Amino acid sequence: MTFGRLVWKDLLRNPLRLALTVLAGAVGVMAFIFLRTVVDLFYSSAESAQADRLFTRAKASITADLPLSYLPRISTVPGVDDITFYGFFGGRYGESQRDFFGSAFVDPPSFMRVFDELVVAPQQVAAFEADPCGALIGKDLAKRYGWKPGSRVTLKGTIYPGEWTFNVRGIYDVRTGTLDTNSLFFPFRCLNEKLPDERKDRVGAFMIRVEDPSRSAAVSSAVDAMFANSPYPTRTESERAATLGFISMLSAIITAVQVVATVILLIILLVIGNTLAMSVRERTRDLSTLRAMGFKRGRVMMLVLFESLAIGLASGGLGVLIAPPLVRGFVAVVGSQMGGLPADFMRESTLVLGALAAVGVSLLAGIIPALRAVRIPVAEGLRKVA
Amino acid sequence: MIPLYYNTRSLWARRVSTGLTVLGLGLVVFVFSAVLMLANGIESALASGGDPRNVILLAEGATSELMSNVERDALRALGSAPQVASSAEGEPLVAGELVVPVLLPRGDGQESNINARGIGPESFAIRPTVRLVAGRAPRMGTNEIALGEALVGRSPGAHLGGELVFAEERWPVVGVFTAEGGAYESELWVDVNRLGPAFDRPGLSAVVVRTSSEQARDAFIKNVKDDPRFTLEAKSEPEYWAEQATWLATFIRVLGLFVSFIFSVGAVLGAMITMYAQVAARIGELGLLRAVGYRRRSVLASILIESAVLGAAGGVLGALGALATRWMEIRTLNFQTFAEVRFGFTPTPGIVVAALVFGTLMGTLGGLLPALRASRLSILDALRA
Repeated sequence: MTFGRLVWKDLLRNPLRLALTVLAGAVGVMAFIFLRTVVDLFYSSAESAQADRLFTRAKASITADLPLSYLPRISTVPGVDDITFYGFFGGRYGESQRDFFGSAFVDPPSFMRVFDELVVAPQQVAAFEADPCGALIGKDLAKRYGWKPGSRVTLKGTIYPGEWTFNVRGIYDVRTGTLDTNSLFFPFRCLNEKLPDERKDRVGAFMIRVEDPSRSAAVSSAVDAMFANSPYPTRTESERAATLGFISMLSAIITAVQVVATVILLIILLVIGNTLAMSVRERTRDLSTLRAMGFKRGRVMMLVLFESLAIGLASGGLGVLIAPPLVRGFVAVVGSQMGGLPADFMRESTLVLGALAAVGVSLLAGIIPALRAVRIPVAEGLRKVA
Repeated sequence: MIPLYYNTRSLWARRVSTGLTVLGLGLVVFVFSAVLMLANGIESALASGGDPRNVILLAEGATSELMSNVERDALRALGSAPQVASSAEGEPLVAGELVVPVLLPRGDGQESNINARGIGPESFAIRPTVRLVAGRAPRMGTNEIALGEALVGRSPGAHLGGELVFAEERWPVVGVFTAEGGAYESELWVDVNRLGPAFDRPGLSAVVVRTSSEQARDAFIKNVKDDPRFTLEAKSEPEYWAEQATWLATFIRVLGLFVSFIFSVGAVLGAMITMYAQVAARIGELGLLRAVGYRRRSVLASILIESAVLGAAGGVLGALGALATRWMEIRTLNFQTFAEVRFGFTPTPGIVVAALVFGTLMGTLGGLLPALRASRLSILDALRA
């Protein structure tokens, strides 16, 4: 009988227990992958941030705005290739949190240039730029409400009081990057014309594309130095730094999720360890017989560890298979209530990490039972009644 | 009925396996109750900010103070309403307030978004739960600020006698206040007439009014709604703060309960493994019990009780572990107010009971199939085994 066959036979000694252990392990791996995916979700926007894009906003406060007159001044800074601006509009479509989606005003031509990851059909771009109150909406948003070019959308303003109606002119998709496909963009002039004088010509932030990403730090400080002594000092960061700064404010939640992900590994450890401990105890005589036949201690320990590894591999494999549909199902149910989550964020690296964790934990779980298996002297083990 | 002593002795006889199972169940109960306590903590931290007699008026359509823009003219008109309570000096208890998020450096090099609240002379009197615990209230017309207790030590200079720098100005700290755990504890308060110009915000975020009673409050809210002079939305303060907590609390609750559910499946399987082993190892004993006259259902009940004891032990362990977290506190960004909030794990008797029930239920569920197997054994086979 080969060594592999011996492991196989030992595993199948109690098929029900094996099945239950593998199932429990798989459930754990699945939960682990799920939690790691949630953590990835927080960081995904930072990772996909564009290196050549800078973000200029008011230094004083996130909600403070900047005068539009800064735009021509920033574009004269050496190294600035292109510039556009946007402002958070925050309109409400329905009353409930479910109906929330991002809305912002932009300058259509420069916005399309700086955010070149946007994919829009050319005739829709033309229609969007021609209509003073046109709207460009993300493909997921379009799908959610069944909106098509030509639809009229009325939002209730939160920051800008009143009802605002836009004509959908185009639907965008994104190649990559921080933009989601759940937002609505409309031209600045649609809003600006209707504002009282003291609120006119104010924007939320400027987005700058630099000629050379390696010089973006110099460009940032040049822009900030320009306005340092003005009534509205600015703060310029790379897109990535801005996103990471935002994430760091949520660090407590992310840490909590990571702690829970570690707890799940501990639970898998306990379940697999328990199974092996039981099986080793029940087989004290078998294992002693093997040793009486000339198996070395190390060999017997390997036998137990291989069993443990086999359970870990099976759990990991099963977990990796069932995790993606489960995570997608969860996002489909919950995502819409949270205002939309990106559709595809399941990472291969997370799946691999889950499988590796299962293998590592199973080996760890096997150590103590393996030591127990060879601890008692052969003669005593042979006499023992389990 | 087989004595309970038999079960406890059996569990003790295999204490390693019992211990591992209880630990596994305990971890699941721990996560379950910690999540519930956390969601509860957020809600009480934000919702306890409100006094039922107070009314917050925001611009129509705005969902939080941060988005709202109210004209200053509204202040006087609202103050003259008959339902408004008066201070000891006879002034109407009305305050125009402005909320601006301020980015303050943290000790660890990161930054936090802190809400600065521009207050009026009556803001402290309007909120009896807000009490100064050190120093004094900021004087009107100066840059003096009072810090919420949660902010002390959060940023260099954030302590009594210290000084903060934002919006290109210096702001000396002259007082520290508490708000019975409410959201105001994560804010800094300063004269609205100093904060507004510093941020170039001539308007207000909200008007806060203290009415003379809860009936007066309802009448006041109705009058504002019917009065064509105002384009304002009036809400009671508790209602406003409860709305601000929904996203974060829902996020934690949904994620946490989903995870607890998956975990519990794993733990039930773990309990099942242990109980199957218990039954398999004791076939002879169980056969003997049947032979001396115990019925099938007594054996079934005995095994079920045994696994329930296992689960209850896990429940106790997990609940105790979760209760130990109440001395921890968590600070994070609330998406809705865009400012940092501080909250803790807040236990309630309901959560502790739920944790114990959850643990016992998991144990019982895990014992169900093994118990059925034990009760179906034929006496002869069992005794021969």
